[in-house]
Amino acid sequence: MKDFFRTTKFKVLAALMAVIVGVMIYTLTRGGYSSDSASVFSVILEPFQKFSTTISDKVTSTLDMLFNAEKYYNENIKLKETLNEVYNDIIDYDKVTRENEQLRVLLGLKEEYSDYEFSAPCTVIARTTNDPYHSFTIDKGSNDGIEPYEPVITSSGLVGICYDVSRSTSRVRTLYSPKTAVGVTTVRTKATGIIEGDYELAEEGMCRMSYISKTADIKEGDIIVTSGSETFPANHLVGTVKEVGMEDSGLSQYAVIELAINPETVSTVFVITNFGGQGGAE
Amino acid sequence: MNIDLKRKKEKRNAVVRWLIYALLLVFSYIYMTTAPLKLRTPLFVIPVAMCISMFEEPFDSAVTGCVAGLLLDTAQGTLIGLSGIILLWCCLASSLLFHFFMRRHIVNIIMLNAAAVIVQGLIYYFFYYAIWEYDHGGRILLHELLPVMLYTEIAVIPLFFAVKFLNKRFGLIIESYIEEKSDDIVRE
Repeated sequence: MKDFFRTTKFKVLAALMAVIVGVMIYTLTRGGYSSDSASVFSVILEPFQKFSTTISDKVTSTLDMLFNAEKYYNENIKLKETLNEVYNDIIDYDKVTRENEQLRVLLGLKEEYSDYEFSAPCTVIARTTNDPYHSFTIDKGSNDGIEPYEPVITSSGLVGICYDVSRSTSRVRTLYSPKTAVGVTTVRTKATGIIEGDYELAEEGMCRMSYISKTADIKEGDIIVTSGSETFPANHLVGTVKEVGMEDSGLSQYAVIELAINPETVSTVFVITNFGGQGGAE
Repeated sequence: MNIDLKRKKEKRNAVVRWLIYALLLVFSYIYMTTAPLKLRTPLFVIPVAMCISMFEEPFDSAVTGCVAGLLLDTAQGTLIGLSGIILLWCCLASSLLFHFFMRRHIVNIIMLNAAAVIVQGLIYYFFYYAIWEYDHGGRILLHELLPVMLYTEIAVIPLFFAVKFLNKRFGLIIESYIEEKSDDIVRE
């Protein structure tokens, strides 16, 4: 066995290891971009991932239909009732919208999000294996204008933030992750706080809003949107308040937030590649 | 058998064998990255690489381990190369042990696979959870990582038989003959 360590093959292995260590150090210095070696893997595996994701999604949805038919039937009845209520609301909504449009013209406000630039629709092609915070990979990267730390949204609200951007793919860190901190505010009272992920809450599809002023008016059912920063534009739906409590220190309040978007089921997202007030973040 | 013919057959066998190894690794990777999130997915690439190292030359095993590790890094979103280096050494050690000291028995591969899984799992836990001092770090180890380690350990059993069958069918002709005879002697 000792002889093996004196062979050329072992020297080749040692060289290979040195190259890997070099790649690791290089990747660490890239500030959110993948190294080219990682990009090679992404490019080779992307078509396989797309193909298998399509099959996996179809199998999952078919099984879901079979096993949850009764649940969906009951949900359907409830939704029909809700729909009737919504019809009534729409009548009021039309009136408010007309008034709102007139006010916009009057105040000379820009159309909402007119200063935004979006990426093309991005498909989720892979889920990070066994990640308790449900991060995933999308099929667009730096070739499509995506840069690290750009916000990821769907039409229903904020999903997370891009990191580890390669040429053709990007990894998305969701709001469940403790590494994603987002400044948020309540729509009703403008009470501010910071959304942070938490392992236990992530299991239930929720996260925690901390640093809410002790005197702030916040209660169950309040709608939470982004407050706007260099990384996240303002007024994107994050979720609703499920529970409010006082921190152990007694200096501030916290709230448990049910996210509007469930990253486990999301299949198509958009990346905001540019917005007014955008700046770098790491 | 004619030596030239035998060499030709062995060469063809090696190509088929390595093609199936590559497919095993790719399918393991695809399953790991597309399985439903609610499931704790075994890290299939580790037992696949360890089982391959059981039957192949140390150099080939180390390179296979390295590739498997890089696939694992991509699947887990870890720094590219971290698991690559770990599995390179694990597969090299496993291959050397099976070449010089150990019999190709299921108990031995279960033990070596457990060692590889524990080393990879604990290093991953240390760099991605422990040093960041997240809340519930212990719970993540207990409820997320340990079940995954256990499932990965269980996955080695069918993979061992699959790779063993593959080597019986497409392995080195003399080696498989010696293996069969030594098994017979042990049984007697």
